[in-house]
Amino acid sequence: MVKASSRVWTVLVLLFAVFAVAGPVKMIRTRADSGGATGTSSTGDTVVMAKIAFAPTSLTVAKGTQVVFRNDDVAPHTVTAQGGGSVDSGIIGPGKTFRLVVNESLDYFCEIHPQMKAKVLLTG
Amino acid sequence: MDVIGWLNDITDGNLLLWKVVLATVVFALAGLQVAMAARFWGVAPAMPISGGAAVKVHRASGRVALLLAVVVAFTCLVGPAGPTSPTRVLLHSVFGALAFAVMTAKFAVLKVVRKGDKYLPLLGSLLFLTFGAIWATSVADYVSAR
Repeated sequence: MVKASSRVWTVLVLLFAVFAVAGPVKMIRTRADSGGATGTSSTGDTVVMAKIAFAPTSLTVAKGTQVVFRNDDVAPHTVTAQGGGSVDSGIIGPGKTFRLVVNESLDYFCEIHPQMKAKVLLTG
Repeated sequence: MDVIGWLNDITDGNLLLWKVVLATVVFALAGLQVAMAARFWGVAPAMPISGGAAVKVHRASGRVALLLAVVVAFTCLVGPAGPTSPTRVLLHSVFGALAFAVMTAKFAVLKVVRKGDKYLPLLGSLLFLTFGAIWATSVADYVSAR
């Protein structure tokens, strides 16, 4: 007869196996969902931060548009101009937003996760 | 159900900080695990703790580490897990999956199959190194970014 503790450990071992497989499965699904794309573009006025990335990575707006940067991630991020520009949001915590009136094109990144890069372009 | 949103709420928006703390505790406990195992496997007899006590500490700290590792991994899997770039994120995901693969092997040997005890030191050491790699590709990056 199998002891109860053995059954519990069998369930736990299966749980660990599920966790071991879940990460790679999610990576494959994420890659499939994105179609292997490395960037997106949009003409809306909101940039979302999620999964350690800006979306869209290229946003086109009219001069003077107020762009909302919304952090839907579990990590804090920043919106910081590349090349020493004056734009710097400071830390944007999860669930927080940062608003910026855009009067010139902006290449920006996250200071905490420097691999996060995107840009705002002006129409016309 | 927005699990991550709920967790963010109950941590007052500091979910990532909590994960950083818990991942650090898991890594520290994994180090303690290896030290205690070295004592009761006779590799470090000079350690100032009896073999019996080392076994008890190993088991208790191991269960805490397992529970915390599952909690942290769950918040990753239902939240930000998925991206394969940049390299740090990819490595973090790979090491996370590897940690649970090693845990599966270790506890299958220890509690289910009950054979192959000679592999436990190798699996335990590999688990400690993997937790170190997970820590280095997440917490170290989080701290160094500040």
